[in-house]
Amino acid sequence: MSFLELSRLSKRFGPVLAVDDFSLTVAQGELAALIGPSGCGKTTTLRIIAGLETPDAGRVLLRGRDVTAIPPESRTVGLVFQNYALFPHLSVEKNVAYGLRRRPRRVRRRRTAELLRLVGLEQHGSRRPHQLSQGQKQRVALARALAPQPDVLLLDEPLAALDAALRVTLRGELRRMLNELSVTTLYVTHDQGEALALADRLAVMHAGALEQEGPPQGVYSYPETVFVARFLGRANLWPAQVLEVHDGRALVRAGGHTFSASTRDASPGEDAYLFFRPEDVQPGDGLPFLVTEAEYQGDRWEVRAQRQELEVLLYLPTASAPGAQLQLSVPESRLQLLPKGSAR
Amino acid sequence: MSPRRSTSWALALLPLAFLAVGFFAPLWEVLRQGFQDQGRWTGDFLRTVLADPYVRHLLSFTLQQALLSTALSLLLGFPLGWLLTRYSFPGRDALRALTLVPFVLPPITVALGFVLFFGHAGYMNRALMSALGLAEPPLRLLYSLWAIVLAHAFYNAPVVARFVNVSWETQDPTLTEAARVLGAGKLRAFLTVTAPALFPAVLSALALVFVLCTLSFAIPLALGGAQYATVEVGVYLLARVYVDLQRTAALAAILLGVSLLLTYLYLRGGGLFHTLSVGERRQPTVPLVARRRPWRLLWLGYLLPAALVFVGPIGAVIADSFLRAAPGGSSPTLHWYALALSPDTSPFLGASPLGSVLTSLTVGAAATGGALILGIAVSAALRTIRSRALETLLMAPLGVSSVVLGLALLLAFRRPPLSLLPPGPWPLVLAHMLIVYPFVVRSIRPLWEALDPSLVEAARTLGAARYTAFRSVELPLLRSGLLVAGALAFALSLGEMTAAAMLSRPGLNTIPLAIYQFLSARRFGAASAMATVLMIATAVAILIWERLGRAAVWEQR
Amino acid sequence: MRLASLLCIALVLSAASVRTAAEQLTVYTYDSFVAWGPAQAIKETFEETHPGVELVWIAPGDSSEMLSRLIGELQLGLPTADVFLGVADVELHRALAHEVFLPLHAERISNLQYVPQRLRLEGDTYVVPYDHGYVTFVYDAELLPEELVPRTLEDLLRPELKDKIILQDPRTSSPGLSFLLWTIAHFGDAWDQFWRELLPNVLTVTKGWTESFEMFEAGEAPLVISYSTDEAYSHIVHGDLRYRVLTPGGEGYRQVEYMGVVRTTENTELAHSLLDIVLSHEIQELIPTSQWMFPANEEAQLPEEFAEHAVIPAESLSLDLELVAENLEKWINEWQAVLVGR
Repeated sequence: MSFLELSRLSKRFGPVLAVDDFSLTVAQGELAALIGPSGCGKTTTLRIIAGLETPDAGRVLLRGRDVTAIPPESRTVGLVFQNYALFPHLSVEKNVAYGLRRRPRRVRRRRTAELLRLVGLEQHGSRRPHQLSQGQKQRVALARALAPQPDVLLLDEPLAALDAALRVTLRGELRRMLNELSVTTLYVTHDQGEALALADRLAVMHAGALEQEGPPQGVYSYPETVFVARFLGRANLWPAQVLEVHDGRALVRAGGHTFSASTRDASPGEDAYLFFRPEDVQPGDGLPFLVTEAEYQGDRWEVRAQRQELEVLLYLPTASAPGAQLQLSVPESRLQLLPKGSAR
Repeated sequence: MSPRRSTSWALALLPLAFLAVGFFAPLWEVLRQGFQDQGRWTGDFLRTVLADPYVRHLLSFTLQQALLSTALSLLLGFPLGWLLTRYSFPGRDALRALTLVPFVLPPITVALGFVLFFGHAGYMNRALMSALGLAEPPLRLLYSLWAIVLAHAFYNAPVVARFVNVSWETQDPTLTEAARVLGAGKLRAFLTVTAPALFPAVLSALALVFVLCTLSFAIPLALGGAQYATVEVGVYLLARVYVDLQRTAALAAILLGVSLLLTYLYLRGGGLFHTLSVGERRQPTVPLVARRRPWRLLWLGYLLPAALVFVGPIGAVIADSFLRAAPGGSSPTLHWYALALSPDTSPFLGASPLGSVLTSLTVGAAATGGALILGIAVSAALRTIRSRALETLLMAPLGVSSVVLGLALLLAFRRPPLSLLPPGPWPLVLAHMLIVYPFVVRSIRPLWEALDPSLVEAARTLGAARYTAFRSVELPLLRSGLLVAGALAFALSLGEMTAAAMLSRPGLNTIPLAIYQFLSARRFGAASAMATVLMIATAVAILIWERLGRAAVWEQR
Repeated sequence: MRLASLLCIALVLSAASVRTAAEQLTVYTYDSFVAWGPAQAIKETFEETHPGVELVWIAPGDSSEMLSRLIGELQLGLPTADVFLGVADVELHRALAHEVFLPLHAERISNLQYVPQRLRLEGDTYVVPYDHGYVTFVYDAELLPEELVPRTLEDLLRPELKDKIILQDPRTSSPGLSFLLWTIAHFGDAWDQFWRELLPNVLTVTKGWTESFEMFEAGEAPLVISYSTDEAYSHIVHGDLRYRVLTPGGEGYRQVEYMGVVRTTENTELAHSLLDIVLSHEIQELIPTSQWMFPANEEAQLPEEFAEHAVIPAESLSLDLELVAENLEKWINEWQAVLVGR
């Protein structure tokens, strides 16, 4: 059952179309990640769901109820702001209790304590926000948003303000807490690592519109557009020409060689891209390539190799130096054809 | 002490020595007059003064009117700050710029405007009487506590509005949004999130307004009559009208204590005034005209009376300067301008009007020049020597009421070293210098502090001596700040009347004093023309201030 | 560098603004003497008699205020006037106590012979009179209905007269002080009670008479403390009797105004000459219809209309000057306390 449904949302700010005919559904208990480059309209979408912006067109349905015209305070939505927006004049406890004022005092106190325990800040209840570290602030913001038991939790780049090491640690903690609560969550981020690690489902947004959605592995391994292929991880993309299409597979020509790749709707004669991930490239046999660059990464070597106009990026477990020859191949099942038109 | 350190102490010694002669010694003289009887220290004069019911009345009335004025300023100013922050409408930027005006609009022009506009025979009453067919003026505001309070509110509501506006505008809008998402309605979000964040700014605005109203002079002097005098006015009347030096000095000592205390509290409290969180986004605005009907009516209900209070008096002054019938009966006329710029001695002024204008301009120019030099010296000293005690000493004139300063200089110029100066408006120049240089320090110090010290270091490694480095690197970079400070200093000196009233003498008269004297003699046309001249001169200085201020900001980017 | 030059320019300018004038005789008087009185005529006559000498009137306040200013300037050693014109009899003691005047050479003021002894002080030591009159109330017959016109001082307390009376500050204005003394002369020790009840009816207490009378003429209030000659003023200047003199219970307070030579003057000759000119027939005859007072020179002709309409109160009150000198400070202090409601 769809718990949160966004139906054909549009929002324009002056000349800029921030959200363009955007639709998405999130099921109960699901953690969906909305991912895209900055400025693609993800935060606007989140603010529309929270009721902080009114869409020019489209509807927001929460548990089947149309809430598009309902003010933010009457929606049962929790929002964690990118900068956390903790009330500077209130203590941690009062921040967390802010959304609980309609509940009896006893309930309020218990719930506040419970959430502070959940985020591991039970010792810090009387502190003021400016006495907290960034990581602690993030957890208070989460506790505050969760306290009124919202139907949907919205997280706007909750880890963006943290440094890299802390981000990874907190990512794990966040996953643990969200799993424990199994609250329906929409998570906005521009960081693919975060999205892949946390989400049950991924929605990639580009220029205000939905580009692709699905489970993380599916979207990562089987991107439908060049944009998604590039945005989620690293990609090898070779310009190619479609020769034949047969039964979901296409015979294409790239760099003077012929390959067989999976496709969805290619037709013979058109230009397209041959796509595969660097980790799909296997050394040993296959076409000979000349190494042009090799960069040591600690756990592996990142290598660029060339054969005529074809350039390939791959990872190797052992050392390699420019000038060396490599025989490379990609399993046919990993070769995909992406339409050229989507390269925007 | 290293040689370098001793040089910087020597640098600090220069402004300190100047202040010792021109400020601290004269102030000491006031205390001596107030507390010494034939060479013996005594508290007798102070006790006599404090036991005097009239003086007690002065003190309590001062407090009472300052509190009421502060409250009314809040009432009138807060909605204006709100309006400027939350709504977009044509003329918003202009209105915001206008909130700067009271910082420099000479109070005597406001007092004159109030008499002309709200007086029993003023524009407002005449309009009401002819519109409603009344025989008696319906609005009885003048010659009462409320005239003073309203004039102070006219003056200070924009100060409150500005503080509210700046603080609110820089407030992170996500805080209110967070509150809304957490279930708070608009009102609750305002009360629990926006209002607490505005509180420090409002408090510090109120503190400032309270200080200004306590030390206000021209408005109670011109609008109060004998019954409604403040301590400042009391000191002036005792010194220059009833001539009772001992009692004056004792009362001045009390006033000195009050003004120092208030300034200390204000500066201490000023620490509160920093915005707690500055967001990247500005507060969103909504168009005013698109508001729902009840809101529109509510705003109209505020804006109409506010416009009347703010525009009426100033408009009345300008209108009166042209429309008041000349002695031949012709109107409109330029007769009053001819009178206001006439070189003939006017018996009401004890000087010629043109002479008063020239004195104001020369005193303004000299005081500005002096204040800039003193301001640079003080800033330089405070830059090299970080000492609270030194800062307190060097900025002390900020905390001394102008009427006390005037009295101090009046006494000091009777004896050497100051009496050795050649004849000229020196007492007034010195007084204005001391009043305005703290503002110079305040406008150039932040700029100077923000200068990258490596610039000077680079100059020094390139062979420039310390002074050469100052002249060739720091001074040009501070130029725009100095020009801004100079324009502000000049405008303040032009409008200053308190010290001028204390130090005036035959032949030494300034524009604000001339306005007051014309007003006292009920020569409204001449007073209005003079006031219009003063407002134009001030406006020009302020325009330069605004323009250069903006340019200074650009240069820093 | 530019700053330094700016300062230099400013200094030069300010030095230049202090002009060294030709020979001058500076006279302090009160504002209304210049605004209404024969000041201009005196200036013309004086400058004709003494070519090359400029007579400068300085009058930015009422008489007491100007006297205070003179006293203050003498105390502080500031430059000040050569002649002071306009000390009311009730304030003479203050001027004398501060020794502001030079002893006069009465023989140099030939016109003094026309001034009757009853106006002059014994010996004419420091000051000579130049006019006299009576401080009374004046009301605006168009604004004050006949039934509200007070017939006695007590009538002034009627609640219908709220905010309808303009008074002057006795600390700064001689008619203001005269009214205070009038109430003391009338009520004796109960004067402060009268004042307490009077205050609600007082619109404002101005610093000087000019301000009061201008307000009165502008219609701000219909009752003002002024002089008994104002009916003549109304008749002659406005051609009507809109402004009527009011002598409650027939009372008015006598006032004689004096002039003297300031002790620091270096122009004793010219100063005496000025005093003589003020007492001349020509100037004295201007006094009734410009200064609206009775001339001190008995031979000065009164204009007919003036003589007809100038009121001489049936009961002319005045306190003994010695008594005033002794008690004035106490009375003023008590009055201040009444004013502020304590």
